[in-house]
Amino acid sequence: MPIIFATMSRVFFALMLVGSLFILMRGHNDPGGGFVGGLMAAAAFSTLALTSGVGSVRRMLRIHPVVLVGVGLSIACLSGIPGLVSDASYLTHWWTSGALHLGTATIFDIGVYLVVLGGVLCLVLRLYEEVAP
Amino acid sequence: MLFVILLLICAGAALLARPVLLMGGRFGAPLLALAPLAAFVLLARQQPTIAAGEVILASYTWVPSLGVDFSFRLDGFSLLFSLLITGIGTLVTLYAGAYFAEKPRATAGRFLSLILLFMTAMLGTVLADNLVVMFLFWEATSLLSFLLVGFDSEKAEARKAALQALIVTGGGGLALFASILLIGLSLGTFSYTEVIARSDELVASPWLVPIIVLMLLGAFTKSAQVPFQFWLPNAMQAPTPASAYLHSATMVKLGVFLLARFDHVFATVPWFGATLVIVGSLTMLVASFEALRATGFKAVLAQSTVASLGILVMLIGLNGEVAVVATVGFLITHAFYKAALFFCAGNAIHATGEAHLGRLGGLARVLPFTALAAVLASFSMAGLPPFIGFISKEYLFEAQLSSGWNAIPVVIAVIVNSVMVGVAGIVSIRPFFLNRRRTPKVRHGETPGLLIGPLTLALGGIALGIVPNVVAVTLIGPAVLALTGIPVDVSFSLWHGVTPMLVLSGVVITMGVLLAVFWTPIHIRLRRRRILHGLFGDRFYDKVFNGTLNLASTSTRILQNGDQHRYTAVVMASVVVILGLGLLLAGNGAPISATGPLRISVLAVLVLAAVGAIATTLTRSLVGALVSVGIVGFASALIFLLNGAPDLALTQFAVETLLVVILTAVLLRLPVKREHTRLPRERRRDAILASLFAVFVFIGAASMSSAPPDMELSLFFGANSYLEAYGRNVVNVILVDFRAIDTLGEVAVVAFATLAAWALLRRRSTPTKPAKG
Amino acid sequence: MNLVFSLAIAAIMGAGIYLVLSRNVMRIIFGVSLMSAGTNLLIFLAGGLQEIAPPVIEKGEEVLGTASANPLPQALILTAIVIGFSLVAFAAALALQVYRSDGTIDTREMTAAEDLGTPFTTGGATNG
Repeated sequence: MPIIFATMSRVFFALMLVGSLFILMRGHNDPGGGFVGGLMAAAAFSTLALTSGVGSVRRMLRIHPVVLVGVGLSIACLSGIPGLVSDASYLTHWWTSGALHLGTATIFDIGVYLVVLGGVLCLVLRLYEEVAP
Repeated sequence: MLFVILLLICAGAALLARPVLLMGGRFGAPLLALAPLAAFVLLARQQPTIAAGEVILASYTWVPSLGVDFSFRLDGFSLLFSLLITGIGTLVTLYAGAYFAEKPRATAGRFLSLILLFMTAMLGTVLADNLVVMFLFWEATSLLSFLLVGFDSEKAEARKAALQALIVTGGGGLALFASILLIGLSLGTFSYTEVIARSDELVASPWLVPIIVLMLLGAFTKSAQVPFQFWLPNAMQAPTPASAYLHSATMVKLGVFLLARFDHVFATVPWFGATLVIVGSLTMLVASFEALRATGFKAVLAQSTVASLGILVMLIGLNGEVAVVATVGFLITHAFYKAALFFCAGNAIHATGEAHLGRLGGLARVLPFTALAAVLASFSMAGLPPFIGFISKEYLFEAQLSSGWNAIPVVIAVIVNSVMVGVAGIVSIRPFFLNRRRTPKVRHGETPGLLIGPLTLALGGIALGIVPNVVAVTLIGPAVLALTGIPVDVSFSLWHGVTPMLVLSGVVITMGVLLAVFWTPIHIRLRRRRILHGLFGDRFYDKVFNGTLNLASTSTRILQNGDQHRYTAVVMASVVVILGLGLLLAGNGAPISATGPLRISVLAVLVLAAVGAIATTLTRSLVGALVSVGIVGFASALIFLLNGAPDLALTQFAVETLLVVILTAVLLRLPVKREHTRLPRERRRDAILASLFAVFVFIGAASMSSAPPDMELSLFFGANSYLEAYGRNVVNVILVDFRAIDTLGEVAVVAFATLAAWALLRRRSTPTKPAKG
Repeated sequence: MNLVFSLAIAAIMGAGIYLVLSRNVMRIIFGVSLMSAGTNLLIFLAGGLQEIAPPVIEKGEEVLGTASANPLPQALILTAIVIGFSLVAFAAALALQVYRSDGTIDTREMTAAEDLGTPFTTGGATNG
């Protein structure tokens, strides 16, 4: 592994991860969203896994990818409960009024993001565990 | 409340049967019999209300949107049936407790639980007013009959007979269901009460013929009419208490019950009654003939039951009030003597372990009370005075003579009744009093539990004969009223004076006695004729049954030969055929026309995608195929980007990248084989299939895109996504808000697919087989 | 334009079918991947191709302009892409694991089920 690529991969990783978060958050008003963001983040981690090995990704993550999937799914499920209270309709989202644009839909999208990220990482980490020296 | 309590008593007793028997010991069965007895008393207390001409109706909402409610109806006819069901049910429960005394208590518990469940289902069938609810209970009786016939599940014949009974009666049940649905379609209601009120509308319905034909199928299969009569004798594999209860006294009468109920509705359809008379007469003839050939104790009784059912069906088909009175009277009479005879047969078989009628003899010495009950019951069956059977037979002849039919049914009835007299003699005199030399070893004598049933019924038969007007006024009158809708003065008496009926009775009894005396030579002659063996049996049923199995195994061998290529090819060929047919039949779709300006950039990318796809099929290298699949993916991302779908383009780019990462890792571990897995012939055929599919897809896609798309939903999302969901990116708003639950499901799919892959790829063990290279 | 689109979709799907009919598990997976790409394009085509502006409501507006692309098929395809991806990835993992346990990716050699015998010849209760 050329040293330059290995070093640059760290930079790419950081850029892609930040980019993925940005895409996630702007999703409601501009192209982007949880699916794309999650895939982008997964690509970031994959880059790291290809260059520095699976071990370093696991250290970086700290959390097991399966846990990420579970947490994401739970968040997405929970985000629908407020709608049940106010509207008697599951997944009808709540929104803050005013300048700050936040709502349970954003939380739902974060759940989607985490599921996609965790799911893809499950695959990538498993498959590259044995390739890396 | 009445109906709920009734059904709860029976169902509750069924649930408790096993524990009660396990804990109650000898007193378990009498304790359980209190439940049907309570139901009997409860029903009997309704008699004054019903006799006054009232009909008790009750309804509990179930599926109101489909017009299906738990609605019940207690009128004279259903009261009569319910009393028979619970009354004989009480006796059967007592009898079964004694019959299974030597078996493990758990076995007896299982049996009684099934019997009581069956009683619940029977009660539900006769009490239900809603036809759909009636059908549900009806099918439940078929299922329970299956379980009871196959109760000795280790016997192959019992299993076969159980399956046969289920297929015949269950299949007929489906026909009945279709008929009920058509009635619902014609009238918009499933309530029997409304159906009688609007019977002229039903008769005018365009569906009248299928309704009647399907209903007849259901009734004829259940009540073992020609050509479905074969299942009932085979069902004698059931333990005797079940035979007495299901296959003579109650369940097989359900078909009769249904026909009697609808006879009034279809009164103006002449061929309805005619069909019943013809089928009933044929059944009587066939069953009498078979009764002469039967060898087993229970088999002879079963054939005579079939003949009796034929008589009932024929009586329903006859017109006139006398026929209705005769039907109801014979229903009661038959239930009394036939159940008693089955009990006696059970006692004889149980005591000796011998079911062959010819090998039994002289049992009166060891089973004196059983012999007494058998003689009394068979006299009623033979129609001798002063038994209720005599009155019943008089009415049968009167109904025939007063109906519009010519002499043929009368002749048939005389023949059949003579055989009945013969059967009565054979089953009561011969095994108990004659053939003393042949007395087999007797394992045990009579117990009170084994005697209560037959003695009660046999003595009841004579009591009813002596004071016939009691039952005529309390039960038969109201039942006839319920069936005809007009009050009929029913007066039963033993002596009518010298009438044509009495003369016919005399002829019948003389011929019957002759038959009984010369039974053995006739029987042997008939059994010697080999040709008769396959005539009325279940040979045709076996042919259909085995043919179906063979068809299934042959088609499975052809379609599922173990080669995955064959499976996929069959599925794909079917898809192509269906697509082709669909395009052919759609016909008047929009004509194919070019829409939209041709854009060079999009055109180039589309060509790239097509070339990539075709290249995938041509390359032999898996890595090469991966590259070309990747090309198709990136090309479609570009197409999305060029057509105003940046979200899709982003996603597709990311997915394609990750897919290459993952599939590369997989391919690294797989052999990159180059040889073909298909023969050249198979490849050519597959290529043709794929091309045909592509052509159809092209035609379909082109004609679809020639018409402008329906924008209604899209406009709604576009108009509301900012105002209601506060988002400007409509695609994202649809995903996370409007269709969020859909997205949630899809995210769950992603989660589970990847989790499964994660678990799958765990390397715990070494390969079970060495790599084949 | 729609005719060219249809032609490309037909080519992609036909190629996908041809690959699915193979006996090589990896080629089957590639075939599935192609077919899902073709299906996505087909849904996209069904939404109409007239407008090419992204379906995003302009700043200051409250309603999506009429000159925007159809958002509905896009929402459907977006999830379909991700689902298709996880399906293919799962299938690939399955193929890999089968290769590890059976040593083959040729379906003719995967006979674990057939080795058990057929219900027509061995054991089994007979009802006839």
